[in-house]
Amino acid sequence: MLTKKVKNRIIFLSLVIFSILIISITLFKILEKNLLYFLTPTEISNIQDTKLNKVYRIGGMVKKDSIKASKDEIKFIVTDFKNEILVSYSGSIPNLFAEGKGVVVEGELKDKKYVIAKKILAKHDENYMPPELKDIMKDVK
Amino acid sequence: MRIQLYFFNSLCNSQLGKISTSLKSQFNVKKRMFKYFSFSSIFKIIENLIKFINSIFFIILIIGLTFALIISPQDYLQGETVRIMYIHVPSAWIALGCYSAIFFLSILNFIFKIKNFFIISKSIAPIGLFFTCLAVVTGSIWGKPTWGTWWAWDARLTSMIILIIFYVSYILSIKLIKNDSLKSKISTSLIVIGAINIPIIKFSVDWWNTLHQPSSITITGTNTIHTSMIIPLVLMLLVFLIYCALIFLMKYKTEIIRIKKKNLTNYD
Amino acid sequence: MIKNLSLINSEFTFVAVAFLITIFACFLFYRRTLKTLKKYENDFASELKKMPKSKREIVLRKSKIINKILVSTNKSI
Repeated sequence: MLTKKVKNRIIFLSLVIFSILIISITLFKILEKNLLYFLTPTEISNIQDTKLNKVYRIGGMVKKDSIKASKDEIKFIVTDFKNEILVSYSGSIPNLFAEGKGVVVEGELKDKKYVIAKKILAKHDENYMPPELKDIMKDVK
Repeated sequence: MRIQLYFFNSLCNSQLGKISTSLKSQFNVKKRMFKYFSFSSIFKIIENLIKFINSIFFIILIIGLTFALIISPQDYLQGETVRIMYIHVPSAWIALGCYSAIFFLSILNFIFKIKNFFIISKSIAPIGLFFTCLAVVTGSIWGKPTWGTWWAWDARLTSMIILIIFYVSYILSIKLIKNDSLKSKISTSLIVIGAINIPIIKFSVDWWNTLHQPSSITITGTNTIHTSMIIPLVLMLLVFLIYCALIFLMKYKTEIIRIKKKNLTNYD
Repeated sequence: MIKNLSLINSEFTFVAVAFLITIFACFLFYRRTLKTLKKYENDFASELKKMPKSKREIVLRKSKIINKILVSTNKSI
């Protein structure tokens, strides 16, 4: 039913799409490291040659009961439940920053376990619900 | 016996007659269907649709806005800011949907050379670009109070910027290239190359660490948005879809008139 | 001093700005589309008007759609 011209075009197009797929997959395999917006504490501790004073972005949860706010500094622990990193920061914090919530910290690595942050971003999770429901869920827990 | 035969014959005849009339009517339907695909009948349908949309649009808009701004509850964490989601998410969906539609239409156009598909994808492209920009801008406005920054170069946001670039280059390739066959080749190849970006946008939040949260609504069941927030989301999606349809019909009509104007000098 | 951003920028402003931008942009986009549509319709009608009368009649007889375009512009020739 299909004419030869149409068949040729289909073959040509599928070849093009196939090659683009292969090229892009290899490209993303190579670039994988650069595509990560942040590293987890475990990934930081796994890096062999951590350059100190280099700026990293570290993401994880703010550990419960770890926020210590003093006059012009706030200290807290970022955790991915395997490894932890202590963060100290002075500046404005986003209003969704809280214990037990996600956070992305950008700053210089002083040590494998200690970061002086320049910027804090709150990472929101995918849950959306009205406040009343949240209270009910707390009671259930 | 004879009478029976007579009845049988007449039955057969009547049945045959029925079949033939049904065949005829089927043929007519087919003819009519083809008629619907001609420009002149499409033109009439477009006129009616535009009128219909104009009559219902504001009602749906007001319903959607009341649900999104007044009736729906606050979020337990974000507070009022969650309402920005009701424009951000539908516009992002529409942006991706428009691109996929253009992708399939241009592939079909490339294989079977159906001029109408090219016109349709040409009219969809500006809508897609508009909604991509809208998604990026509203997302940025949402990001400031939630994340604490207007912009972050994470995978989701960067791939949205790349989507804008592909939309712009597609529209420019259509506008600037005068040669018809070259135009179709270049625009199709641009769209095909850019199509790899669509799954990347969709799954970037699952594949890599991103600042952007993973998607809350998945096709396979579980969603993590409360029902009272899904209703305004769906309503706003409906509003945007109707708006898209309106813009699309107007653009499509413009294209038809443009073609007819070109052909005007060819009637002799 | 740790400043809380929410005190400076109340959430409501962000929501209002986002919705206003959206509505304004949608309106502008609609108006631009409508403008180009009207421009093409008018151009089309004036093009037809410029034609010599005999030729115009042939065109109108041959093509139904041209009549329809003219109906939508409310212009009769």
